[in-house]
Amino acid sequence: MDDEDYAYELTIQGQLDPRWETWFDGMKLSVATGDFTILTGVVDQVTLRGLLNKLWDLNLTLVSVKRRKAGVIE
Amino acid sequence: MEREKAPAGAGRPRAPSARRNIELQQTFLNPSICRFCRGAILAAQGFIGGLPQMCPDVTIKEVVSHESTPKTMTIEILTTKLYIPRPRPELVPRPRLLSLLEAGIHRKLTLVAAPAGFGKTTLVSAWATAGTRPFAWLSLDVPDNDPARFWSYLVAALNTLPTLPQPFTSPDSELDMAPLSPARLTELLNQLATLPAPCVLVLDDFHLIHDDTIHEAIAFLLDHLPPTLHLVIATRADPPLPIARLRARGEVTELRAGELRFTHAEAAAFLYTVTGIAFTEEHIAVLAKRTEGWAAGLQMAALALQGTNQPGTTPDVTQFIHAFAGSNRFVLDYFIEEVLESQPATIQDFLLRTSVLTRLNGALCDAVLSDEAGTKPRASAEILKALDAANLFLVPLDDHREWYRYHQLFADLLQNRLAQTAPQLAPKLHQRASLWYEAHAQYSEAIAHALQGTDFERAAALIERTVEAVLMRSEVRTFLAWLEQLPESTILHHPTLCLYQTWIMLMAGNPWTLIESRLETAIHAAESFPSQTTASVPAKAAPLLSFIALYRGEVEEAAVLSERALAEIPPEDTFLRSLAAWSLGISQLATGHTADGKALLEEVTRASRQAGNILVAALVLCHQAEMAWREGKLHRAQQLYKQALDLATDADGQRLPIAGNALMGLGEIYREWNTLDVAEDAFKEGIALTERWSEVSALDGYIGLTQLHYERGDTESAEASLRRAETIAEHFDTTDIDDLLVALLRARINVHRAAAGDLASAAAVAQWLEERQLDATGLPREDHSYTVQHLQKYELLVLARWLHIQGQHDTALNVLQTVLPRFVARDRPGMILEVLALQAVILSALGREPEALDTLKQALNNAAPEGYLRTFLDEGPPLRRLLEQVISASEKRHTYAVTLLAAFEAESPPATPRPSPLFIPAPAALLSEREREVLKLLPSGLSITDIASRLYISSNTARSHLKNIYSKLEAHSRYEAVARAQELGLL
Repeated sequence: MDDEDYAYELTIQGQLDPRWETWFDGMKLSVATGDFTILTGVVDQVTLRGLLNKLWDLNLTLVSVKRRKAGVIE
Repeated sequence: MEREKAPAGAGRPRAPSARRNIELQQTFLNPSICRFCRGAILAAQGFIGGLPQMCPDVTIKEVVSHESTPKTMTIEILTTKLYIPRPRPELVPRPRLLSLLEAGIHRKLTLVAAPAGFGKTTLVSAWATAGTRPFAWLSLDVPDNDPARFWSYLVAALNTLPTLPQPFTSPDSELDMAPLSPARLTELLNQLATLPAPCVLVLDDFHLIHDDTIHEAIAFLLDHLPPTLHLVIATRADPPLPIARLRARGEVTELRAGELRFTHAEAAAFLYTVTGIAFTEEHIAVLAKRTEGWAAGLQMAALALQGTNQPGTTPDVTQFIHAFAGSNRFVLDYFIEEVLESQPATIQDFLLRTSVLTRLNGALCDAVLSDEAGTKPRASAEILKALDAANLFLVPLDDHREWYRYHQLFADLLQNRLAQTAPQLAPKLHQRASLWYEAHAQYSEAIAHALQGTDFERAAALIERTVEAVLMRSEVRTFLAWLEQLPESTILHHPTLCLYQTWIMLMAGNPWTLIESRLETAIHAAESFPSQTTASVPAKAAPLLSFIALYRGEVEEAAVLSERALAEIPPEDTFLRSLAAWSLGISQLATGHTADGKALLEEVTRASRQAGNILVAALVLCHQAEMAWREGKLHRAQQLYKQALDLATDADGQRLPIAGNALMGLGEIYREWNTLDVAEDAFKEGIALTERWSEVSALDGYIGLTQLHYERGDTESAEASLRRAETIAEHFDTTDIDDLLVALLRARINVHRAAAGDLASAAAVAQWLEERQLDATGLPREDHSYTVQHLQKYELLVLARWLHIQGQHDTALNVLQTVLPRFVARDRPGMILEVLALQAVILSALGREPEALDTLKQALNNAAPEGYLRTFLDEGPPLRRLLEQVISASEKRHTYAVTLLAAFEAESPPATPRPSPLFIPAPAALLSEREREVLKLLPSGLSITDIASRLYISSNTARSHLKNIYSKLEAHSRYEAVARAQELGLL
C-alpha cells in the first residue's frame, strides 16, 4: 500500500494555539467551531504514529481520525 | 527451518580459482570447520563484547582507532536516573491514592498508567519517601532501549536497596552478549528471593521502552517475581505485558487517569498551598472542571494566578476564573503566555534556550547560553534554584539540587515556542551542549546532542572515538541506533564505523553475502578517502573476510586474505593478528598441509597464551581438541579440552563463558565413554556458560544433550533439547549447515521411533529423505554444493538405518559400502566404528553370522584403545546378542567385548524409560489436604494472615502448614517453595 496517497484529518478536543502547527510536522492546523482543533496533511504511517505520540504527550484528547485519498480534501 | 535451496555462496561471482577450490574442498570442509569459524566469530564477539577481561594484554586501541579512545568498561551510570524524586514541600497529600498503593503491595505489580501531567511520578515518589519500606527507583529514557544498558541500570537500581544481602552482579564483569537471557534473569530472581524484607522497584516512564527483548524480560520477571519484590510501572501507555492475565489472577493494582484526577478537595488544597489564595467553592469547582482534575493544568492555572498576584495588588480571581471558564482553549496554551510573560526577559530567554536539554545543571546551562564569543559567564545555577523555588515545572534530580530536568510537558511547550521565535537557534544550542558533554567525557550525551543538532560529521567523529568503549559494554543496539541516524555518506566517510558494523552484522547472524558486500563498500569508501586513518581498513577487514571465505570453502582465498592481514597489521595488534593466523592455519589444514597447519595452530595457542590472550588461546585449543576427537584420539582430545578449561578458569575457580566450548567438547567425549552423568553435567554447564554470550554456540551442547537423554530413555528431555536446538538453528542465518545438522539428528531419532512402530515418525523420515534428495545409490550428486556433499555421508548412514528397519537389508548394506570409504578417506575412526557396528547388525539380520562376527570383532579391536562404548550401545539388543556370540566364540578372553557387555548389562533392561525426576510423586503425596490448599495460595503473594482468613483458619495454623510445606518440599523461602511446587507439578 502506498501511504503517500492518503491525507489524514485528526480532530482534537480543545482549541490549540496556531503556533503549534510547526510542532506537528507540517500538518495544517485549523480551529473548528466549538471546542475542536483539526490537523490535516498527507503523512505516511510512521509520521502519523509520531503525530499521535505528540498529541498524547500533551495530554490532548483525540476525537477522530479520518483518512482520504490525497486531493479529495479541498 | 530454512532449507538450503542453492549451493552455499550462490549469487556471488566466484573467484577465478573456484574450480581448484572445489577440489580442495573435497579433502576438507565439514561441519566442524563451521564450528571453528563460529569460534572465530565468538572471538570477535569477545573482542567486541568484553575482551579486556579475557585478553588483558591486547591493545585494542590499535585495532581500529588511531586516536586515544575513552575506555570505560562499566556503563556510565547516571545516578540521577536512580534518584527517587523528593516530593515538593507544598505537595498535597493524597491519602486515598496512597492507601490504594499500600493495599496493592502484596500483589506482584502496580500499574500507574495515565497521560502526561497526571502526577504519576509525584504520587509514586510520595509513596516511596513515606518510609514504609525500601524502594529502588529507575527513571527510564529512550537510550535504555538497549538491553545491555537497561540491564545495567536495573541492576544499579536494585543495588541501591539498603537491605541487600550482597550486591547484584554487574553484567560487565564478564562477556555478556545476552544480558536479558532467562539464565541471567533467573540468577537475578534467585538473588531477589533472598531479600530480607519486601522491597519495591519503580520503573518510571516505562512508555519510553519499546524494545521487545526488554518487554519479554519484564514479563518473565513478573511471572517469576518472588514475594520479596513488588514492581511499580509508571507509564503513559499500557505496556505490552500480560496485564489481563495478571488482572484475572488479582496480581495487579491499577491506578489510571480516573483515580489520579484531583478531586474537588484535593484541588482546593493544592490551589491554596501553591497560590496562598483561598478560593470559593465555586471557583474551585470551575477550575477542577475546566482542567478535568489534570494536575499539570491545575499547576499551570496556579502559576498564572501567582503571576497576577503581585505584591500590593489584589488579583481579580473572579475575573480570572470567569475568563478561563469561558475559553475553549487548550489549558496549557491558555496559561503559558501569562506564566512566561510574568517572568523577566532573561528568565524567559533562559527557559527557551535550555529547553533543548534533557538534563540541566548550572555549568551546562552556562555553556549553552554563552553567545558566539563564549565569554560572558552566567549565573545559571542561581537561575535554576530560583526556577525550582518558583515551582516552574523543574524537577530536581538529586538531593543537592545540582541536576534538574523540565517536566516533559513544559519542555515541549518551551521547545515549540523556541521553534516559533528562533528556529535557527536549536542546532547551535545542541552543538554547545554536545561540546560541553564531550569536554566532560560524557560521550553518549555529546553524541545525542550532535545528532539532534544534525551535526552529523561531529556525531560520526564522536561515535568513532567511543565505539570501542560502547561495544565493550555490549551496547550494540546503542551503536546501531546511532548509525541509523547518520546519513549513509557520513558513515562511509568513517570506515571504522563500517568495519564495526560488519562485525556486528556477523554476530547478529546476517547472511554473509550481506556482510561481505558491506565490507566491500567500506573498503571501497576507504580507498576513495585515502588518509592516515583509513589506509589500513582493507588489512583490518581481511581477518573477517578470510573467515567468511572459509565458511564458503574458498580456502585459497582465505589463505591470501589472512596472509595479507598478517603482513599489514602491526605486531602489537595481537588480537586481529591471532585471528588471521588462526584462519591461515585452518587454510593450511584444508589444503593438506596438515603438519604446517597444526604447527601454526600450536603457535597461535602459544603466542596467545604468552600475550595473555586467553580467549583466542582457549578457542584454538578447543579447535585442536576437536581435531584430535575427529581423528579418534579421544584421550588426547580430553587432555586438550582440559587445558582449555584450565585456561578459561580464573584464580577463584570461576569459569569464564569461553569455558563453555571446552565443557561441551568434554561432554561429547564422556558421552562416548558412557559416563552419562558426568557428560550431562558438562553439557549443561557448558550450555549455560555459552548461552551468556552466543546462542548459536550452544547448539553443539544441545545436540549432545539430545543424544544423551535419548540414550537414557528419557525421551521427554531429549525432545526438549532437540526443540531448543531447532530453535537456535532457525535463529542463525549466517549458514544453513546448523539447520541441516539438527534435521539430521531429528531424522535419526525418527528412524528409531519408526522402528518402534511410530507411524508419524516414519512419515517424517520419508519426507526428510525426499527433501534431502537421498536415494539408495548413495552417490554424491555433482550439482550439490560441498556442504551438502559432505553432510551426505552422515545422512546416508541414517538412510541405511531406515532401509534396514524396513527389511531392505541388502540395499542398506550397499549404502554403507558407499559411505565407508568416504569416512576412511577422511580418517574418521569414530564414524568408521559406527558404520562397522551397523554393518554387523545388518549382516546378522541377513543371517550372515560369520561375517557379522568378523565385522564386529574388527570394530571392537579398533574401539578398544580409545574406549568407544556408546557407538556400540546405541545399536541396542541386536548388537548385544552378537557381542555375546563373540565372547562365547573367542578362545581367549576378549577383554573389550566383556567390558562392553557389562555396559549393556548395566543399561538393560531399558524396557521402561526411567521416570523423569520431575515427576517423582513422593512429596506431593506427603502434603496434606490443608497444606495443599495453603500451597495453592502461595503464588498469590497474599500475606500469611490473608491466607489464613481465606481458609478460615488461624494465622498460627497457617504458619505451621507453611512450615510443613517448606520442610516437605525442602524449601527455605516462599519463593523456593513455589518454584519447587511448580517443578513437581503441584501448582
